Amino acid sequence: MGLSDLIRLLEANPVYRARYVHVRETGPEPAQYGDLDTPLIPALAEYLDQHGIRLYAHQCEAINLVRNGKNVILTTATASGKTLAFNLPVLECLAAEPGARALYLYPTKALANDQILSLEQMAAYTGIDVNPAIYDGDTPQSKRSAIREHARVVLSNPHEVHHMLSWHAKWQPFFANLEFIVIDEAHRYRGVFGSHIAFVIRRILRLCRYYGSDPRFILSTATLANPCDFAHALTGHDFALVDSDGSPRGKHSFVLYNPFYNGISERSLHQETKDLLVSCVKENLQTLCFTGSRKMAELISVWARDDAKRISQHLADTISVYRAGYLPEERRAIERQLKDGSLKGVVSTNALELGIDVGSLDAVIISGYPGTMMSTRQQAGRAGRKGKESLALLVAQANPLDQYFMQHPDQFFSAPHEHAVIDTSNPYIVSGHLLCAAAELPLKEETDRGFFGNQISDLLTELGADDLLRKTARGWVYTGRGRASEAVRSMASREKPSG
Amino acid sequence: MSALVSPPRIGALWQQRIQAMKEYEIVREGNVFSSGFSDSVVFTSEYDRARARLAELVDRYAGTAFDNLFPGQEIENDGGTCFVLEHRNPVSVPSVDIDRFKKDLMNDLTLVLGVGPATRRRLNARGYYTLENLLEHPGLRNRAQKVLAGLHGDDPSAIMDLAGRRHSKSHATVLGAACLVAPEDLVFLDIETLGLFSRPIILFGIGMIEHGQLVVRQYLLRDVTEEQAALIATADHLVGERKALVTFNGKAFDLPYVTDRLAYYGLECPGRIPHFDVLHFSRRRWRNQLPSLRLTNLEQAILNIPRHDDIPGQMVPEFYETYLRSGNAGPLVPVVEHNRQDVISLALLFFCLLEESYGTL
Repeated sequence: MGLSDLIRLLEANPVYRARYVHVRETGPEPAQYGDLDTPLIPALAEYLDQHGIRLYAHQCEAINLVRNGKNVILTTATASGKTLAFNLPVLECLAAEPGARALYLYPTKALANDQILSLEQMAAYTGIDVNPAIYDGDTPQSKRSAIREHARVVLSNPHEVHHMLSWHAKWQPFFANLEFIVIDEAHRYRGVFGSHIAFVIRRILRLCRYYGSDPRFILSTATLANPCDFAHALTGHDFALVDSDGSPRGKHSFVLYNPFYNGISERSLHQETKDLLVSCVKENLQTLCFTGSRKMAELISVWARDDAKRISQHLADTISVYRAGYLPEERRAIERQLKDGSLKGVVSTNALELGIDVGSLDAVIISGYPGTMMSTRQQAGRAGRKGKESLALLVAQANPLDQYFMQHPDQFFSAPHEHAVIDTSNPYIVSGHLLCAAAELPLKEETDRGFFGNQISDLLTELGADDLLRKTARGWVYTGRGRASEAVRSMASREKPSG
Repeated sequence: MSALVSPPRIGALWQQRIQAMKEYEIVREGNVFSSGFSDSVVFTSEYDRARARLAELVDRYAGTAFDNLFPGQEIENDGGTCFVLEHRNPVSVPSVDIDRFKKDLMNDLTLVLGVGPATRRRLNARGYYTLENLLEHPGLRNRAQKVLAGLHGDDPSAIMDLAGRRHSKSHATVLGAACLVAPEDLVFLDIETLGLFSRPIILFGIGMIEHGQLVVRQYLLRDVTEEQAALIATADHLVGERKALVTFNGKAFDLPYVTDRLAYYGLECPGRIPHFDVLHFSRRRWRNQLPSLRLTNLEQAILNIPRHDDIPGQMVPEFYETYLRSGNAGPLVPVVEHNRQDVISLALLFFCLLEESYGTL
């Protein structure tokens, strides 16, 4: 039913057949469960029992490593249970040590808002004192003081933390007892943006050292070619890699679809996408459609609804659009409707590429190659409920790269994972964070060299010569006229964390 | 691969970017900003006058030694050396009616939890006038006992906390607690900084009453290396069980700022002492009568003190920076004067308000 019918339609129907270039099938993979070296504390074991959860191999591996004091990077696919893999060891630690704290970093506020729900739920069920709280630009002033004092898990984003470090004296109990820093969707922190984040993390660690703590890291990323190197560049520490995914996968068909099969096009990419979407929805498949722009997302959903209306109004109502510009309440409503099945087709921009919890779906349509294999795989990875069949369709645009993939499917499917690159030696980036660090605590060349690299001597002299820093007995003090954290604003410009 | 040499001008690039971030806006006259106490506005005329004054000072004092401009003393403590200027001002300390204050406290039944104005009227009607009377009230006896115990030691902190909670932080009773503080134990504080936050404090103004005079001690940083010592010297003034702090907007600015700089250097903060924020009391008293409650406006309107050639507080950083860069102490002159007058006016305003409420008649 449903999916196989659709695939048969694609193969047989004369309209679709010409455009259907290639299919690559993977799976099904059975679940691979694992064992923990020592059992979970009763409260958590019961939580898993009650929810019918059995831990997969990669979750157990991660938990075992974390318990042994290692930093861990998890690169298993979306919806493989990574959240549980880090929540469990963190909660265990919070239960065992009454003062312990944890910091969870997300690239967007929307994701933080989403993830706090699972923490609250676990805390409520197990009775462990977690008191999770989001601390970001949206947090009202009146709540901030209480969060600093009492929240044991603080969820935030790098932009907020960058500013929050100026006020570290108010966060003393938090930093002094920080046991974990959890970074979700860490692959987003690459390039220039990632290099900045790498220094924000080093400034956090510098404060931790000052207050006497030594937190462990748990990173969750998409599949990368260089996971351990990347993690090392981001944090300055060594990591253990957990990459073999034990979660079950149903049969997954990845179809390459080329509307420009004869070198010309009868209709535009967007029309073709719309047709595919309507076909999927007609077959009762929950479908997510990714497009390159907000405008196209809106248009495709409007056209799809018009088409669907010819069949029934009800069908038309099951199609919706989802994009970053919507209010949080609107987005929550759409996510809920996807989860409970009242929405069948959602057209989205790449905003939804992030791990927001809409569960898994039956089919994903990717309208135009998104630019990186990482994005493609993340988007395609949305298709596949536990054990059930799923479908991903890449619809090619009329540009050389997309067409090349259509002509050479092997190249597409064997393309290596990207490297995530961070450069911690760019003097423009390092110097900005030196200024911020000096404004947080007096900088000492010998002791802070480990965080900022060997350029520190030259840069300090340079910055001192321009009266931005002054050398005192305690170290280099920031004396610039503006606030250092405001001057180093690349956080804000590059990726707005408003989600 | 050899270490990257830092590109020349990297410091200059940052300096450029930072200079472009102003912490105040220069606006035309006539733009009335009534959004409370927003200090981030400087009128064009003020700004131009100040810039002109800066240029003139640099000219006039080029080549003048620091010590000739500022005859002060060098002091030493655990943080190193720093520099202090002393100035004596005549001041008339009002005599306060402690008995009247205590009587007011005793008669204030609303200090008891659960007793509001209406309940108080009813209690009065039934013959309960003082807190001691309430000890005979079956329902309120225990709570009244607690309040009396708190009032018993004549501890200004306890009284301010209680009155602040039950009434408001700017209530006359909170101010009245100053009656219980000896004038010699009052510490008047005003600081000048390099910005709104997370930059060095360059001038600490401390006023104390000694032998009937207001002695203003100003710890002026000859260099940023002296900040630690100046912080320690200032913090030392705040140590002592009987001391009380008086500031203007110090609850929101001066005290948190000092605390933060102490934390920056890893220094201990002095214990909490009673803190009278004259801005809060001024607001309560003159809110509906004066368009602006800035210290300079209150000075003029209430104390009749005009300032000549004063520079706006927001421009202090640029004056100080000019001194740091050039070594010419001229720009510091108005900064020191501005701060000194701030401390003096703060004290005068404080005594004025206190006398109004609890001066002996």
